[in-house]
Parts: sequence; C-alpha cells; structure tokens
Amino acid sequence: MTELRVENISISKDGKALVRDVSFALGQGELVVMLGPNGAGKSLCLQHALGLDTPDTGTTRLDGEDVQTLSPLRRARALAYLPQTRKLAWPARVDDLVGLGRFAYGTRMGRLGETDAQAVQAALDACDISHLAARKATTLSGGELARVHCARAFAAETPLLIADEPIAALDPSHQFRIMDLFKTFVSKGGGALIVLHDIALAAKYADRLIWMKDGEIVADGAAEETLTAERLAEVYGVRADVSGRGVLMLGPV
Amino acid sequence: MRERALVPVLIIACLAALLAACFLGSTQMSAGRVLAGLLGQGSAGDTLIIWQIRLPRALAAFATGAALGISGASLQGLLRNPLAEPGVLGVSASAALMATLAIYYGVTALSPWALPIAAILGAGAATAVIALAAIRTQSVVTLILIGVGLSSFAGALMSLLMNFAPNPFALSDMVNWMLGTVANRSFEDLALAAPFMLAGMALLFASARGLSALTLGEEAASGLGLDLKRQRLLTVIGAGLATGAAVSIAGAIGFVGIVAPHLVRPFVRYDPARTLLPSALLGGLILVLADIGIRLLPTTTELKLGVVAALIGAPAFIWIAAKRSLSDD
Repeated sequence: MTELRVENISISKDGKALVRDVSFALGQGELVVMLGPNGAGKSLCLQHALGLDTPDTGTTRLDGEDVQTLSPLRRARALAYLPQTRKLAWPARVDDLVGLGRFAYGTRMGRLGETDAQAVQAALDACDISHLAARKATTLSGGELARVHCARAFAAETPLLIADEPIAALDPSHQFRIMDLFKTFVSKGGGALIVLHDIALAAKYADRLIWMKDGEIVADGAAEETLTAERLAEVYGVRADVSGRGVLMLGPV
Repeated sequence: MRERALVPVLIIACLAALLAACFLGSTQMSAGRVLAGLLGQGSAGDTLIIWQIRLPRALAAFATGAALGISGASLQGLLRNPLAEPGVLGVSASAALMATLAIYYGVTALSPWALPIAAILGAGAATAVIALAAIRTQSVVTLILIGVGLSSFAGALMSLLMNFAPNPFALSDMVNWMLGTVANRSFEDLALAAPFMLAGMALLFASARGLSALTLGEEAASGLGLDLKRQRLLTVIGAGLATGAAVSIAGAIGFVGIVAPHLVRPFVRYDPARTLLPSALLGGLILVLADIGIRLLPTTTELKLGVVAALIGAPAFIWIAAKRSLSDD
C-alpha cells in the first residue's frame, strides 16, 4: 500500500509564514477533500507535498522515502498530480494529451507502447471520452477538457492522485461527473486528495475532510465529525445550516 | 501518414535545393560541367567554383537555417509560445554583437576559434537571461518584451561600434554581421562552427521529450516527472550553442526559427518534440532557397540573406502574433 505522509511542513515567503506545521496523510482507498478559503495555503501545501518545491522545515515521505530525494520519474509513477492551472500550450489531440500521462514510464508523446496504449484507452473509457480521442483539445468544451485532464492523470495508473480544484468553472452536472470519476478511482483502490471550494460537494463525496485556515490545518476527520456550523463560521466566515452531510449556506457571519 | 512523409520529403527537398544552389552563380555553367565539377572530374576552374564557392555557401545557408530552425522549435517548446525565437528574443543579436566585438578588438587574430566561441557566449548569455526571466514570470508577453529589449540593446551597442569604426572596411564588415550573409563562406568557417552546432543540436534532441510534457504547463509537467531545472538548462545551453554557431557563420539572421516550426507543427500533431527535426530541415531549406533567390535577383549590390529572411519572416511573425491574440491572452 502506497502512502503519502506529510510531516510538519512549514513554508514562509518574504518573512511571512504561509504554511505552519502542517501534517497529514493520504493512503489508498480513501477520498480526502481539502477545504479552506482562498489563500489558506492549500495549493502551496500540495506543491510541497509533491516535492516540486522545498519547504523551510518538515518532510514529505512517499512510501517512507523523502520526496525531495526521490527521482521525479519514480515519484510520478506513484502519485499523479492535476494542478490548478491547466492551460495548454498547443492545440494537441486528446489521445496525445492523455498519453502524456505515461511520461513517467519513458513514453514519448504520440508513440505509445502496448501497455501505454492499454492504459490510455482504459483512461479514455473511464472518463467517457473515447469518442473525442482524435479531436483537438482546443475544440472541446470546458467539461470535456476537464475530463481529458482527469484521463491524463488516470492514464499514469498511480496508486495516489492529487487534484487542485479539478471542478472549478464547471456546471453542476459536470461537477458530479468529475467527482464520480474520482470516486470510481478510489473504489478501485486508489487514494485521492482533492481541493474543493464546494462544501456541499465535498461533504457528499469525501471520506475525510481536511480543513485549512491561515496556513494551518484546523481539523482533519470524517464529514460527520468535522462539518459543523461553527467550523464553517470559523474557517469561511459564513452562517450555515448543517444536518449530517447536508449543508445550506445562509450568508456571511 | 502525412507525418511519416514529412521528414523524407524535406530531406529530398533539401538535397535538391543544395544541388540547385551548385548550378547557380555569376559564371554560367552547363549541368554537365557542374556535375563534373562536383565529382572533381571537371576542369580545375569548375571544381574550384563548385567546391570553394558554391557548395560551401549553400551548406553555410543550410547549416545556419537548420540551427536556427531547431533552436526556435526548442525555445518555443520550453517557453510554450510560438513567438519565441532566437532572433525575436535577442539571442542572435547578442551573438552577433559578441562576434563583432571579437573581430573589432582583434581577438579573432589570436585564434580562429575565437569567433564561434564569442558568438556562442553572446547567444548563451542572452538565452540564460530569457530563461531566468521565464522562471520569474508566467507572462510570455513579458518574455518577448525582454527579448526585444535585449535585441535593441545589442543593436544599440552594435551601432556604437559602427560609430567608432576605424575605417570603411571595418564598417562594412560590421554591417555584414548585422544583416547576415553567407557569401564567401568557406569549408574552414563551417568546420569551426560545426562542433558547437552539432553539440547544441545533440543536446536539444536528447532533451526533446520533456518539451512534449510542457504542453500541459510547467506545474503539470513537473507532476508528470519532468525535472524542470534540468530541462531549462539543457534547452538553454543547446539553443545557445546552436544559435551562436549559426551566427558565427552567417551573422544575425532572424525569423527562420519562427517560420519553420510554425509550418511544421500541424504535421506533427503539435508535439514540440517531433517539431525539432523537421524544423531544422525546413529552416535549412528556407535559407538555401532564399540564398538562391538572392543570387538570381539582378541587383547591382547583392542583397543580404538576413534582409531577405526578415522581409519574408517579419510579416509571418506579425501574422502569427495577431492570429494568436484573437484566441489567447
């Protein structure tokens, strides 16, 4: 079982502490949602958890190995990453983009080996975009493009996956479709950490919620335990009615 | 299928263009005389014209175009923008400036290697500035503007040198460097630039795969397992070596590195890695053809290759930029 373990990470920039003593873990078979207002340090946490940057203090271990010393290709074979910015540089074809998910296996774009081709096809099928395979990504709608990015992450066939706001700017039906994809990924034994801004959606899908505010984790646990009206007031500054996993936003505090 | 035919077609076209270049010149020669000269079986005069004048000139145009084409394609892949190019980013101008300085201060008299090395240092410095700026800013417009600034600054220093030119010969020499030409190039000039050019191209080919990953953006590419720092370093050094070597042969020739990759890209499904080889071939082809055109034009003073390249390339640059701004930021 692959496990990502973030231990006591602190990050500061220009003397300002952006992330303070953050620790959390992600294992296989769980869908974890990270919540918190803009600027809470969620994205920064994830980037450091991936070893894309070096924190001031603290370590991140992937299966016991420090991600800072782990080779990028080995890390990428254990942990897929969907960053917040997903702007494409070129109008590439959908199947080529999904094929890039195989980069960590030494695959060249547009030159798939047999196992690569199988993984790409499985990912296309899972995301229901097989019919778009030969289309240029620039001709797709926002919802279709979001599924292409998910397929790219799934094609890597990693045990773990981190996605930063994968459903931003999508309509409700597409939001559900994308979240369902992650849920399926987890039901097949994967572990996913997803940053969301939609609290109702987070409560519906998450096995565990990680609440961040001002660079610190204020709560980490199941929705039933950590999703309370008080917490929403504390973290987001909103009034809300909470009953079980249901949330109704009423307005600012 | 179109993709599979692209490289063979380009190779045949390049060979045909190089051969055609051997047939053209101020001395009218029949096909038989040219072929005999090529094979070294013609008269001593014919052989001299082909092997000392026409072939080196055509090969110089090809090598320059190829180096600029592959440098442009690589920089565009790294910076994720079709407008990035050694000429536009000021890399060629900086290389030409350093080469001129080396000539002006007599460094080239010390060793024949001084010229390519000076040009490569200039190209490398400018490419490094661009790459450093690329780490700090996400805006490609900023990068292009920095490049334009570098280019203008190198041009200004060049003008300063021309201002202080000791005699008309030095001045005309400098003008040649600024405008870019492959006239009167010898195999010795090519041999001096070749090791650097080949090393640069080898680096660019070796690091091509990472450019594909950058299609998704720098953060996503890192997530895919790309070592971004290493990628930047290899592309910057490779493009610096290749461009510097090209400038040491022909001076500053712009826009080849923008036109060639742009034309090639749709054929390789917009994969930056697969753009490299055909861009090099097409860049070489464009300059060989442009140089043939120059020699065919009945002008009293021969046009400079760089001028012709800019006359074709600058409108293409504007067109690409304008089309892009419609769909992009």
